[in-house]
Amino acid sequence: MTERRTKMDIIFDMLQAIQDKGGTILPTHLLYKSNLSHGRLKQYVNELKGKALVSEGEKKGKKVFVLTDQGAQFLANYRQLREFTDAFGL
Amino acid sequence: MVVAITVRGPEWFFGIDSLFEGFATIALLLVTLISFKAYKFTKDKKYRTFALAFGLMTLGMLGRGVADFLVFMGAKVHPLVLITGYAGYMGLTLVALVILFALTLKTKQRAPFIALLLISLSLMLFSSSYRLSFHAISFILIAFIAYHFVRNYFQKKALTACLVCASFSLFGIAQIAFVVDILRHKFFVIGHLIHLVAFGLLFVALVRVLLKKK
Repeated sequence: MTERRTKMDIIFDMLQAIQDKGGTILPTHLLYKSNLSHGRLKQYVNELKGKALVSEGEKKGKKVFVLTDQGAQFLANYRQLREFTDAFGL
Repeated sequence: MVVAITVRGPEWFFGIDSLFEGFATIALLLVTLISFKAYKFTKDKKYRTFALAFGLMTLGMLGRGVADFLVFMGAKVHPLVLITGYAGYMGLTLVALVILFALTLKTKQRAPFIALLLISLSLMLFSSSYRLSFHAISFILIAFIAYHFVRNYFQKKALTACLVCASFSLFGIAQIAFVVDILRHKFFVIGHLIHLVAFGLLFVALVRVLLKKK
């Protein structure tokens, strides 16, 4: 059985999805990649925007989510944290 | 009151041991800092407890390193300074190991661990050979902690987890060497060398954590 994702895991997965797409992602792609319902995605996106980890932009006339520098820094810190947690089994 | 301090190990090893302990202090401090950073990042109390355990070990190791260095230098210090260094090392290490043991069991109950800590400290204080008791109790606690790291490695199959697992297994083996040294002698340097390799592996694991940015 797979473990339930924590809030931090979900945020990481969302930011990782944006980074994998080169720093910008369409809302529908983010919905698919983050494996969340539409309502939950909206909640998380609002939280990420509030913390300045992502911002909203436009690409070819379509709304996109953009990974901010702060978001990229969060990703780097989280990767470190994950390595540490896995190393010591915390 | 007469205070007797026996300094173990061959004379040529004096000074080298404090160098080893200096390196160990750096490795332990690194774990403390990374864990505290993880706590600040997540606000998860388990990282704070982990940082506390390694912080206590860092302090203990620093105290022992300073005491060993003073012995090496032949400094004329009050015996209490050396006693504080050595006893502080043992006491703080035992407290830290009990905290780590409690963390590996992932239980919220505190009473059994407080009891375990009091029993461990009492055994050490009232034993005819406090060093023997300290290393024997440390071995038992480290064996349980190392078992957790072995299981973690088989779950994660990651190199960093393997390094941590190997490191703690060696810490356990080093305790056996120190126990044998008390009973048979000549194992003091071997114990320290095993300790050094263990801290080296821990240090490499931490460098891997710090480099994990991408």
